[in-house]
Amino acid sequence: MKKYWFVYVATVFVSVGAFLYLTLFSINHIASLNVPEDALLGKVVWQQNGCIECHTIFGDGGYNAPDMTHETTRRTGEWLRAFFQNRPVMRPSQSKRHPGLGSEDTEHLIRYLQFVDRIKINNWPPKPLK
Amino acid sequence: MFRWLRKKIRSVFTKAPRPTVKKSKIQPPTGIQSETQPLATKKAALKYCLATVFFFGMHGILALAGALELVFPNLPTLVLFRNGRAVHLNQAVLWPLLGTMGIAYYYLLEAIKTELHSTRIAAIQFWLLIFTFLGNYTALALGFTEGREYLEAPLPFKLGILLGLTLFAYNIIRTVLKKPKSIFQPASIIIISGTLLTIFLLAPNLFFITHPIPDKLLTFWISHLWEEATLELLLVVAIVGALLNLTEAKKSYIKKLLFIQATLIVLAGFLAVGHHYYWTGTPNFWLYIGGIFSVVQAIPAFLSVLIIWEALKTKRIENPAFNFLLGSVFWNVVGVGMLGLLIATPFVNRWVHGTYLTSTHAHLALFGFFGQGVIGICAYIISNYATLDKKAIFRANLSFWLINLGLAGMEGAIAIAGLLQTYLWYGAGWEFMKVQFLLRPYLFVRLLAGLMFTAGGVIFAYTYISKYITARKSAHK
Repeated sequence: MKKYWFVYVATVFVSVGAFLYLTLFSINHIASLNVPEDALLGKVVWQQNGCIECHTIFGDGGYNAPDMTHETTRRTGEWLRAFFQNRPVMRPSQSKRHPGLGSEDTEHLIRYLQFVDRIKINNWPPKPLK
Repeated sequence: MFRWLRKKIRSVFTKAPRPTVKKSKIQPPTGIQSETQPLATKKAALKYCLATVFFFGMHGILALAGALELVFPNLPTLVLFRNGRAVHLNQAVLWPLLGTMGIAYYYLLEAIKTELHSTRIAAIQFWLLIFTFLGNYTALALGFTEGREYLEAPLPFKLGILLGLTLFAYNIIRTVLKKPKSIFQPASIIIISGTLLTIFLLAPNLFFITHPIPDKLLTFWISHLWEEATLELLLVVAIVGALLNLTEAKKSYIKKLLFIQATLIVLAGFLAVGHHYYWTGTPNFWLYIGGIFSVVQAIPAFLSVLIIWEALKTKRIENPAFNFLLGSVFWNVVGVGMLGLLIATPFVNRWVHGTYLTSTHAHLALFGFFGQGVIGICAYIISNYATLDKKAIFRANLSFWLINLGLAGMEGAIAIAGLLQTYLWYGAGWEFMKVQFLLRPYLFVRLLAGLMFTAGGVIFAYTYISKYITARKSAHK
């Protein structure tokens, strides 16, 4: 039984070590860990409002609203500002409105989404086949 | 070293007769002893099991509310959807955590045949976690959130969970130190390593992470590594322990399989986190590492079949808990080994990422395999302290079928929704809202199946908790 014990413990060290090494390597590989101030404030807005519960970034999140990774490519800043100002009804509901944001928060969020948009993510989402 | 395992595998594929066991190894029939080690402090696990079963029942009810809102969005709601979902995700991680700690206590004591170091610490830990959970769910329901998926808990509650885990680690390490040689028992080393790693994985997630990429990487330390590595280690110890209680499976053989299972889980689980790192702005090598180690992850899923097969071959006690263990192994194969592996493959993942198929896998793996294993073992432990009469056994078995058929129905519907999203969004380039309208019938079927699931969950929780209350009342008379 002791042989199994040693194999198990050795595997723990090797696996965890490899995983930590590769994770650190990945983080170092990021062009710059520096996030501009307004994008950082936008990340705070994104987190405080719980956007991830319905939307996704990099495809991770809730599945009830569109992926926001490339939203700032699809929509202009004007469109987004109007969106948070007017708070459209969230179809298929007939009365529930999308959460709104103050103008400062809107600016910061747009900067954050622009920052996310610029991150290269291996050609995801895939381009439509048609 | 693994000569005996190679022999076994060979004998499965050839018609060669099984090598005869040496006479000295044949043990006289001891029959099944349902509680092989009558240690008093094992009872410390009981409140964990009761609370877990209760939270599981409650979880289904809240989930129904969410499913209902998606199908009938004009219904007034007490809690906003985004807040309710945060509660749902946190419940999904926290009651299995609570149950895992309870069953790990129970089976550690059983394996090393020692009393718990401190039932007081176990009790403090329990109440700390209960108040942390309730506070967390209330805060989330009211809209306080840290806004990272599965990690929405506001900081004080994360600290509560961390403190609870630390008390747990301290208690089990002190218990093993009472008999230092018992560190070589699989239960000890696996539970201790699993727990310490669980704490290590939570710690950096207490902080606000400035850059979105490390933020995502660290999120999966909880949503992947807790469920598919560190806590899974504690669960497999308890599953093996429960099988030894419920059947006449050969102890030494099963313990070896436990070590192999745990080794595979660690070998595969840590690097398989890469299957969450395909599209997160990290280097390309994660596509290969994540893909390869996701395949390796399928091995323990199938090995769990071998483990339960060994147990099934022998006599067993009739206990409804056994059904849940079978259910757990079933979803381990289907939800984890098959569906999980399929969607983890990079070229498949590219097309299904960000759709309801992820949700399908999440439910089948996190509940179907993990949660069901936990509640099954909790049910077994409770039945040691509260005898089940015929009616209770019937209800428990009924709840098993309602839960599993309900789960299959829910996830079948959601899988179809996910495939539609894949085909229409990514394949055909349809706009998001257009697809959303098409999904409503499937969300409706999910709601109906969810009703079945929740009915099963409530019956299950009611059966075990009421039997325990009855047993306590009659004990006090």
